[in-house]
Amino acid sequence: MSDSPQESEVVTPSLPEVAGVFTRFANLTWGGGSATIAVLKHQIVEKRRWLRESEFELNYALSRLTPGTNLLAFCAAAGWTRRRWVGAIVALLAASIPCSLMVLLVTVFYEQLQGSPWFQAALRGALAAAVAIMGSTAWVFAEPHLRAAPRKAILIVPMTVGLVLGLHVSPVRVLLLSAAIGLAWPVPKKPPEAA
Amino acid sequence: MAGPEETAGGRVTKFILLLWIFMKGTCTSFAGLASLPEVRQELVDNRHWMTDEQIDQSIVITRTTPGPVGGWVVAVGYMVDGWEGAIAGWIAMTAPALFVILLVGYFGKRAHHPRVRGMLQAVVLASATLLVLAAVPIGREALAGPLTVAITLVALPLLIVKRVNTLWIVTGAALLSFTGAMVGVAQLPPATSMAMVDSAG
Repeated sequence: MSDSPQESEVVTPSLPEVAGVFTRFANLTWGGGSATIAVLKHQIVEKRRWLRESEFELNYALSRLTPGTNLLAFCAAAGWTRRRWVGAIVALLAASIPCSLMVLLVTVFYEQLQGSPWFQAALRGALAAAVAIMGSTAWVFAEPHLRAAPRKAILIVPMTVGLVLGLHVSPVRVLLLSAAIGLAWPVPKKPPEAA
Repeated sequence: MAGPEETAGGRVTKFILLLWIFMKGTCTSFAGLASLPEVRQELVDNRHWMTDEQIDQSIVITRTTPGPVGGWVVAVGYMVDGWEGAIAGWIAMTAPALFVILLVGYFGKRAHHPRVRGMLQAVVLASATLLVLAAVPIGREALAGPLTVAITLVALPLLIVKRVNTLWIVTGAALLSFTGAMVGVAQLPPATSMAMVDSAG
């Protein structure tokens, strides 16, 4: 979460670039929103430098606390961060229209696709890849914080597992509780400045 | 699907009503499929505009296609009211995302405060854990044989260490599984629903 000097250099994309990247990378990943956000992170943080690491963290965490579809909230936040409202709208349209058209196409041809064992075999392979994508996404997101804040991780990770699997608490309540714990976590005192 | 006997006014009313039902679901839920109980109750139990089987189909469809899990409302909209219904579903899926700008605007100005940073850190840690939990039911259904298990085990290091593009991983996995079924290495799966879980959509 720290802003290194290199991290502060960001590129402001043009609107066609925003449309192109979100169309290509927000619509072509199986495994749900977070897996897709991991792909977007690689593209817009590491490769194109549209967002700082700290801006990505902010957008991702807040998109998880926004009603509706988290992936689309992330895209709107990322677009807004560099290009304000017009960027948010362009990113949102680019991230939602192609995948909605794919949903429509599969809905129209549902009977044929569902009855085809070959399609099912290919889908099973894609879902096996989605399991790996979700696992790697969890690692990519959590790894810097496991290093930077191991004590917080020791509390949050088992707590999340216990609340969701043991007590069937809804994910958003777990996220809100985690946010409250993070806010209340003792802040380390700054070391005295050298004379 | 809407019948041809419906008037233009009736179609507009149905569109607005459907949009209202979808918005009630998506604006009060925080993940792709979390709006399902609210929408199901209105469309299946109260209005009888669709069946439980169609709701199940919409979930299979959203898992079959890439992108956000929240796309299931587009499928439901199409089943209930054709293209207009699909558009209502798309609006309801997309519009709540704009709420995030209020949050980013507020917390963005305070992002360097240690407590806000601590909060973001905790939410990311919890999100990552939730993601692993959401992958378990998908894995239980999809990893049905040695070939699909091998796909997952090979894909994981390729993604983490080699940073291979996920599009290549998914395409390669689908082709491998398809070829495996053709040459008899993998058993052909039955044409039934895949595992459905609620995850970040």
